[in-house]
Amino acid sequence: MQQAGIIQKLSERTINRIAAGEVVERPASAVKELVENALDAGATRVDIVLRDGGRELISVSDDGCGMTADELVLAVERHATSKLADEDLVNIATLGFRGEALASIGSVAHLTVTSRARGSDSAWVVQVDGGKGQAVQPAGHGNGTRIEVRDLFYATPARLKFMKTARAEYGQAQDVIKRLAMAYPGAAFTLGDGKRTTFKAPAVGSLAGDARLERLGVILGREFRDNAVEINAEREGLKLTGFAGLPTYSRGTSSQQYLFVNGRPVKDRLLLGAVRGAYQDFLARNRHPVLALFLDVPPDFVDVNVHPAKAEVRFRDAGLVRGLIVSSLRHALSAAGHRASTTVAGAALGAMRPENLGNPLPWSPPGGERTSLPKGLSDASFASQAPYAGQTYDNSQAHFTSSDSLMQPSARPVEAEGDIGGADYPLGTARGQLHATYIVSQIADGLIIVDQHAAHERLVYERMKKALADKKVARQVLLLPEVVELEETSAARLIARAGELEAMGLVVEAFGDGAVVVREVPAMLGDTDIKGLVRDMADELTDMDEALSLKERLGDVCGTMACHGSVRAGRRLSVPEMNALLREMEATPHSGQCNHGRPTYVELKLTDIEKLFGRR
Amino acid sequence: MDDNRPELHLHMSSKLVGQEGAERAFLDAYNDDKLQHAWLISGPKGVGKATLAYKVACFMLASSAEGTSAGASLFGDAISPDSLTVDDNNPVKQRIISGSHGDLMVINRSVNVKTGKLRNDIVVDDVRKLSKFYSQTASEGGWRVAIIDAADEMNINAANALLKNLEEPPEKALLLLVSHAPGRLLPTIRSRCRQLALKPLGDDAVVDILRSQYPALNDSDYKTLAALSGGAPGRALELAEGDGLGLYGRITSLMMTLPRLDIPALHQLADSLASIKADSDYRLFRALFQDIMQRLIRFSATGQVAPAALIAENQLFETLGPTRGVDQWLDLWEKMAEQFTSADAVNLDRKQILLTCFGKLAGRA
Amino acid sequence: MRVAHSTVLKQCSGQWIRPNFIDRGEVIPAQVLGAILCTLKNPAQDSQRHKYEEERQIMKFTIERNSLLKTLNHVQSVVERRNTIPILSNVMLEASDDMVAFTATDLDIAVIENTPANVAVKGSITVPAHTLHDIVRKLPDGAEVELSLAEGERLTVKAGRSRFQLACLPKEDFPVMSAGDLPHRFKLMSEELKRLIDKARFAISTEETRYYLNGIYLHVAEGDSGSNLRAVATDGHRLAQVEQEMPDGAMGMPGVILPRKTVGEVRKLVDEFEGGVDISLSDTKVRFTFDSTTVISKLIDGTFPDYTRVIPIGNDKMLEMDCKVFAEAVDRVSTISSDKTRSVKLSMDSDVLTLSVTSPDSGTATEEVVAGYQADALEIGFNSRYLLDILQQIEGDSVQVQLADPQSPTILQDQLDEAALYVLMPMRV
Repeated sequence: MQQAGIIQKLSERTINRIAAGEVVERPASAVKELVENALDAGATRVDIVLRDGGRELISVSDDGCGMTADELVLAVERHATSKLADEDLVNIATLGFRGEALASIGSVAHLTVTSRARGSDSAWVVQVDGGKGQAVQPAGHGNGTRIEVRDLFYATPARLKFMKTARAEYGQAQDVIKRLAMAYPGAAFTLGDGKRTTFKAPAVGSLAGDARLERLGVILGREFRDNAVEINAEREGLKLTGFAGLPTYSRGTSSQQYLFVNGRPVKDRLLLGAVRGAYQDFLARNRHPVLALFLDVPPDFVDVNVHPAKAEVRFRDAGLVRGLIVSSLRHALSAAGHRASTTVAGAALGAMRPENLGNPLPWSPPGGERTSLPKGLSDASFASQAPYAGQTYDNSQAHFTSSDSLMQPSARPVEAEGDIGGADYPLGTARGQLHATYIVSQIADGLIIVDQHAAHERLVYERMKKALADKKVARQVLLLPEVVELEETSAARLIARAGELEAMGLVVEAFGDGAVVVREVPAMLGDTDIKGLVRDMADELTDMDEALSLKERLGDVCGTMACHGSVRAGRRLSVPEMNALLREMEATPHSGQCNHGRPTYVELKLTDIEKLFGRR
Repeated sequence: MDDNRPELHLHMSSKLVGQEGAERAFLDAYNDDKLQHAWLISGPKGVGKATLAYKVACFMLASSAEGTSAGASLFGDAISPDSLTVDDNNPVKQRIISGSHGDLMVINRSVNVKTGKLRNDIVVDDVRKLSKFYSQTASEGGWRVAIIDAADEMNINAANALLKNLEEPPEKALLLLVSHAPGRLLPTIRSRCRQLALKPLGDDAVVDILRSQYPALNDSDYKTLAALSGGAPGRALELAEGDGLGLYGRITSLMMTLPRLDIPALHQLADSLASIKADSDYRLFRALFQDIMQRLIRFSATGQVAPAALIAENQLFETLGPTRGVDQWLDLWEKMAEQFTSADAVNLDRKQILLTCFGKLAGRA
Repeated sequence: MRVAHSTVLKQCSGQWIRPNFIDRGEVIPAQVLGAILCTLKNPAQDSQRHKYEEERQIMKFTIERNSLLKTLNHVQSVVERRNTIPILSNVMLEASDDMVAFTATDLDIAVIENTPANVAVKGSITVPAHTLHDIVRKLPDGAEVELSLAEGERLTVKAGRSRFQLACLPKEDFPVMSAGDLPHRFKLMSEELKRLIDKARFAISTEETRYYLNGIYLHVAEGDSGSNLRAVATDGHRLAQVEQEMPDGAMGMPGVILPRKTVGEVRKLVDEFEGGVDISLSDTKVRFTFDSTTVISKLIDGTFPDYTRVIPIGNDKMLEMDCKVFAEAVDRVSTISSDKTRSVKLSMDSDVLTLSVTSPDSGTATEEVVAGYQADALEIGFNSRYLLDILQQIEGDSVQVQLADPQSPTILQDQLDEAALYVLMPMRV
């Protein structure tokens, strides 16, 4: 379509255009560079306009520190930015460190930069067309900088062809802005297409947790705000903050996982893998959490100069980062183990009445997990192992009656209300069983409905997992050891982790270059596809630095067995049995959801019930 | 039900035309005892890839049946066959047609039991059937032949599963991959197959086939159909069967009036293609329309005119071509392709799709 | 439908056919297609329908209901219930002189049974196996069943006042399971075959990626006392090896792996017949002939691993146990283990065996039993299910357990049947 060119020496302009290809792939990447520049300039307000998906016009205005006439000239030159003092590529503390953005954009579009430096009384404008800068001219402008990019890629028609529809490009840019807005709750953002504003996030003050949650609520929706737990952890100079969605508020894709390193949005496999590992016990394999995590590390701890588009990063100590993410997420989720998603209750209420009732406040767990239980009772509930029948149960019943006279066995449904003795317990006192499937219990300010099968399944699962963690996994020695051929590096990686794998029941040894021999396997997996398992794990070690497959498969087996060994829906339970189940749920971490991420109970507040009847 | 028998009948009974080179290449490998265990048969849709695959399968199974019968060895060394053709009365061919030959396995997209719909991909369970097939000895004692039609439709898991079979093929097993877009296959699959590219036929050859099946058409019709088919006899017959000529005429006459749109005629066309019953017509339309656009883009980029039989298109190109730059045409073409695909994926109203396509053409023309 | 019909029509006339559904992915129900094929291949000749009734008969015989039912019971079990290709749901009927052969297959195994019948017109056809079986099952005991097929018609099944017409497909479409040349031929008594199967079968692997373990390896083994016929199965955790005195004609046979499904089908038939079973095989096929019933099967196309290397020879710690006492004790203590691993620990010290199970959920269980054990004290863990599987195969009153150490393979041997040997790998906790 184009005539073959004669070989020429590459001009400066061409070099810029090639670089632009790397940095500015599409309007969204130009937007990213420009907004990051604005934030670096200390802006508290950034307004973005994209016309025709950014092809016709990208305009970014900020109220940052602005530039003087001299700085303006330098700004549009390649690799000449104010951000890297002394060419120090190590201490990268600002976002657009490569200093290529403006020059790159200028080489493929008509660029106009208007700016007034803080404290100065005059504004200046400079124009760049297809890489050629014009002289700086005086202009009229308020504080801050406005950058206008017109006819993006007009100078590189080939790239134009790869542009998607205006809507798709606009969507991408919006996603970029949302990510940056998450990291900067202190700044206000607006995005519009010239006709209307499609995204608006008012400034919400400092970086404090509340402000951040407020901002996340604006971007991810109110429901996230009501179903997230705060993460705040620090280890060896690394700081992890943010909010993680409850397992009951999960999604079918991982697209709503936002990760930031030093304020920079990243999509990093190591980090995503850590998230997957942390949620592994709480979610079915095809469910994904919603979360926004902010990792702050010393600049010399991380290499962000891996790729100009800067989505990937490299850490000096990946294991430390991983450990921090996994442990702090697990810790926070465990603490929230008793918080069934309010969305569930909200949805249930919504179904009863056409109007939206608004979400009830999330119920907070009592300080310690077992502290609210009388000693004997807690023991009793532990003793009453599954299933709630037969002899085992009788023992615990004895404890019950002796320790709490309110819970004398009685007819179903439990007679009269009278006393609210159950109010002392977070999950209340059982008041009856519906359809031999759900337990209804009364609490001080509402009622709780428990799915008996899901709840019991979780209890059994937790117990099995504990057993799994306490003692080493039983291993079946193989009569015919299995040799698995792998790539040499994969095999070496696997062998390096042999100790860890053995704790999980898999004994591997090196077998020449690029092969391992499996001598023992976890007994609970039975007659299994060993080659497949080992290959999957080798892949995971390469990708995510953790062998999830084995854990997941062991978890699956536990899950299946838990499911079969649990009280079925449809079984009638006596009142003491129901109460024992409630007490054990209180005493067990993570009992707010079953192993598939579904809630085990829902809570309805009295106020919500009153609303249903129009009393409020 | 995952019954692939309609296609099986089609390919088993079709005559393969114009692919003597490919047949020869296979036969030579067979006669020289250098038969590769996996072959990748590629070429445009309708050119005869699956027909060749079935022909090869039938040949292999029929000749191994002869080989195992006691009589053959009486004549000393068997004579090298000089054709892949197997007699219609051969019982092996009979059994292949009825789907009861135990040593032929055909893998296509299967039906999802839950939804009752044909899957969009060949999935890993489909390919696993192949592992089972290869793990046991042959039913009739000779070769085992598997056909994957089309290999492009395998999803990544299925492709990886197939790779294992390709790496450790059993004795006397032949795998035939049929592919319209070999570029989409994993490079590791491609590199393990001997490639057999089927070339488009000359117009005359296509006309001959058309004449034998549809003797009532006139010469110019034959030529137009041949040109539209791009050398793929299967497509030419499809066009002849489904009144492709009429449809082609309606599309070009609609395009002729651009940038003005003949709204009543457009709606008439869209209505006639939108119903469920007109499914095959809709697909014909889609293929024809996209072909015209492709030729238009080629013209606008290189100045290459349409084949002589489609002379009318040149006039169209002259008027329409210069109204947009090449990249704009490409952009438009991409958008339309996307729209057609998403229409199939989520069952959009076909009438709307048609109206949008022409609207886009007119919008900026 | 419309498409399929024209397709088939043209196909039959050997011409080019409607190609325009290449892309459409149309699915035509198998039965419908089958029905069309049937009518096409047996074109109805309406004009002559009522003339020459007898001469147009293609096949006709009568057979006693019970004997027909028994035959169908034998053959139909290999036919898959859900089949997308109609001919594969069918059973083939071939009527010759006073005899009808019934053949059914799933493309891996074919079962053929010859049954005496009163044959009026010799001929053959195929009909849906499960339908025919269900019909015959519901006919009254002792009824005479007449099966007849006239040209262009469906198969008519008549018994008393009941009359059924079944769609059928021609014999030519029916799969062929060619046994080919079977150069090795020997005879086993049913009891012997039953023993070989039962004592090995439980150890067959179900893991499909190691397909070569999905069957029983039948081969000739050279031992100290000469050659024996040996059956071996293993899943990589345990192994069963059963020997049988060399039958005439088996010498020099290749080692073959009998697929699990074949083992199952043959085992079902063994119970029904007394006397000898003829076994013929090559390296690609096997045939079992019981009286009037024949099973032809494919073999697994793979190499059975060299299992002899893993059977220990130097195990010197001997434990003699009453088999029943042992099995009951294992069963009792393993009640406590709720998890899937089911490990049981055996502790042996001077004529006492202590079995113990610890479950984090349910507590612990121990049982002491008297045993014959004089070697150094030893503790070893096993999967209790594996242990019970083996103990169930022991015929004699006592079992000898040959041990080395807690990591190494252990041998269990039947005191009454020394030609059977089991190897079990320990578990480690």
